[in-house]
Amino acid sequence: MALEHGVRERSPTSTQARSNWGAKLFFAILFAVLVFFWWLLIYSGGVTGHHG
Amino acid sequence: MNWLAYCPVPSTWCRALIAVLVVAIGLSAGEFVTDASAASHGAEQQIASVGSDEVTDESTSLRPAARPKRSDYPSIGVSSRGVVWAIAQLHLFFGALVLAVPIFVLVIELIGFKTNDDRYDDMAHEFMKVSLTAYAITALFGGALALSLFLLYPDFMIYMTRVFESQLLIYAVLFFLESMLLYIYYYGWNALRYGNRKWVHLTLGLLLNAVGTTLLVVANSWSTFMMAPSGVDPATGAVTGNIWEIMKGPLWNPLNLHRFLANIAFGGAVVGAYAAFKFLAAQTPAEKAHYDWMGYTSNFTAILAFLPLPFAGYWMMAEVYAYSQQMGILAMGGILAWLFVIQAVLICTILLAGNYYLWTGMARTEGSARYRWLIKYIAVVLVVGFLVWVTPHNVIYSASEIARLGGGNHPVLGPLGIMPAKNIAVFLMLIFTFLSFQLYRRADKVITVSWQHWGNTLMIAIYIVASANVIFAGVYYGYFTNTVYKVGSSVIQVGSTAVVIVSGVVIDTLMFKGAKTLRVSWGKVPDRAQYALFALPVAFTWLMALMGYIRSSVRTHWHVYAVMKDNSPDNFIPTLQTVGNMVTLVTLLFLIFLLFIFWIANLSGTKQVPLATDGKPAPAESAA
Repeated sequence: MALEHGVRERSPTSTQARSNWGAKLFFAILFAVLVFFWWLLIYSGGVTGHHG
Repeated sequence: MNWLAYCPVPSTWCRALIAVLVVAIGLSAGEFVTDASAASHGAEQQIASVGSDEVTDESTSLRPAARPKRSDYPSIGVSSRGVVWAIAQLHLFFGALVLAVPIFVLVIELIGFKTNDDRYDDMAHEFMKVSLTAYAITALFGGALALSLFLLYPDFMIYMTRVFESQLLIYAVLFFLESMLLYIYYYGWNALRYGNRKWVHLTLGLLLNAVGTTLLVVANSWSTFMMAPSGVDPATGAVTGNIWEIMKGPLWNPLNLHRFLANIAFGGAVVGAYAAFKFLAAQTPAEKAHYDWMGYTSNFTAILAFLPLPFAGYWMMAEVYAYSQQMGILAMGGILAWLFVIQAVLICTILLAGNYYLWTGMARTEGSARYRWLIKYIAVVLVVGFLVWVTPHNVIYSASEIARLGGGNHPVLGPLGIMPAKNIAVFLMLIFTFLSFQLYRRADKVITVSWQHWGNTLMIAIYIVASANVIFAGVYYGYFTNTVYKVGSSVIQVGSTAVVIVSGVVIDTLMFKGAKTLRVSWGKVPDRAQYALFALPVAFTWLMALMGYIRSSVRTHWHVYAVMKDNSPDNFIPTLQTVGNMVTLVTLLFLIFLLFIFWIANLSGTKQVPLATDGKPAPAESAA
C-alpha cells in the first residue's frame, strides 16, 4: 500500500533498521578512517629504516 | 534473490556505496601490489627485472640530485629566501587554521547532537564560518608558494618533484576533495540538521577531517624529507626507495603529532579571538552570553590541545638528536638556542593568558568562591616557572662583568640556565595550569557522591606526588648524575604530568555523577578577560613562526640535509635580528589578514536597511 508523499511502506523491522542507518554510516566510516590512518602512519608495509 | 531488499538504506544508496567500496578496494589492492613489489626488491633488482623501455625510466630515477651553482638561482632583486619564508609561513598559518577548526567543530557538533542542545550546533556552525573564509586565503598562499618556489629554486623543485612524483597528484586530488567536503559541510549545515540527515552531516565532517589530516601528513613528509632524507642514496641523492621509504622518515610521525596538536591549539586560539571581538561588539545580553560561551569553549580547546604539546615536542627533538646530534645541538645548544629563550617567553604568555582567562571566568558562578584562594598560589608557580624558564645559560659579558661575577655564569642563577631547571619549570606550569582547569570545571558543581572526601584526598595526593617527582627527577638526575640520566629524567617528568591530567579527568568524571549544577551567568565576565583571548593567538602565531624557523633552519646550508646543497646567496643562518624581524613581520601580516577575515565573517550577518524614495532609511525598517 502506498502512503502519502510517495513514502513506501516497510515492515516495522525494516523501519527500525532505516531509522538507525545514519549512526551506522557514521561509525562505519569512523572505523574505516581509523584503519586508514593506522595503515598510513603506523603500518610499516615492509618498509624499514632507510636513512640518507 | 534480491539481497538489496535487506539493506537498511535505499537501494540506490546501497549500490552507490558498493560501487565506491569496489573502486576503493581496487585502488588499494593496486597500491598494495606496487608497495609490496617495491619493498621486496632493491633498486638494482628492479632494473634487472623490467624490460628495456623501463630500464630507461629506472636510470632516470637513479639520477643524482642536481648540484646547482650560484648562477642557477634566479635573482629578483630581493632575498629569495625572504620571499619564500614569508609566503610559506603565511600559508602554514592559514593551513593550520583551516585544518584544525573542523576537528573541534565536529566534536562540538556531536556533543550538541547527543545532548539535543542547539546552542552547540549554532556555535559549531559559526566557528566554521571563520574557517571557510580563511580557506580561500590558504589556497591563494599555497599557489603563491608553489609558484615562487619553482621560480626562485628551480633545481630544488625539480629534485623534489622527482622524489615525490605522483604523490603530488594525490595531494592535488585531496585538495579537491577537501574543498568539496568543506563547502558541503558548511552550506549543508541547516539542510542536514536532524535525525539521520544529521548523522550524514557528521559523516561529512568526519571525512573532511580525514582528508584534511591526510593533506597535513602528506605535506609534512616534504618538510621531514628535507630535514632527514630517507629512500635516497645518501651520497648522490638518487631515489633508491619507494614512496613509503621516502615518506616514512625518522621525523615524519613526530612532526605529524606535533603539528596536529599545535594546529588545534592555534585554531582554538584564533576562533577565541573572534569570539572576544564579537563579545566586545555585542549589544545585547543574549549576544554577550553567546560569545562569552564561545570564547570559553575556544580557550578550553586551545589549552587542552596545548597541554600535551610539549610531550610531542620532546619526542620530535629526541628524534632529531637520534638522527643527527649535530642538528640537535645546533638547535638547542648553538645559535638557535637563543630563540628558545624567546620561545619560553611566548609559551609563558600563553599559559598566563589562558590561566588568567579561566580565573576571571570563575566570576560567572558563585560556586567558584570555594576555590578562589588557590589562584594566588597557582599564579606564584606560573610566575616563578616563567622566570626560571626564561633565564639564559650563556650571556655575553664584558671583562669587568666577568671579573665581578667570578666566571662566565652567575653564581646563583647559573644553574637555572640549563635544561633540568627549565624542565622542572615547564612541567610544574603544566600541572598547575591543569589545576586551574580542574578548579574551573568544579566551580559550578556541588559534588554529591558519598566518596567525595576520598576522591579529593586522592587527587591532592596525586598533585603532591607528581610535583615532588618532577622536582626530584629534575634536581637529582639533572645536577648529580651524568648526561644520559639527565635526558632520561624528562621521561619521568612527562609521565608524572600525564598521570595528573589523566587521573584528574577520570576522577572528576566519576565524582561529577549526580552532582548538582549551579547557575552559570554567561556574559558576566569582565572585558579584560577578552584581551587575554586576544593575547593567545598573537603569542601562538609568533611562536609558530619562531619554532617553524628553527625547525627549518637546522638544515643550515642544505636544501635537503646532507644530500642537496644550497648554493643560493642565502645559504647561511641569518642573524638573530633578521630572524626576529621576519618572524614579527609574518606574524603582523597574519594578524592583519585575520582582522580581514573577522570583518568578512561579520559582514555576512549585516543587512542594509532599505532606502525610502528620498534616499533616507525607511522609518519602519530602520526602527526594526
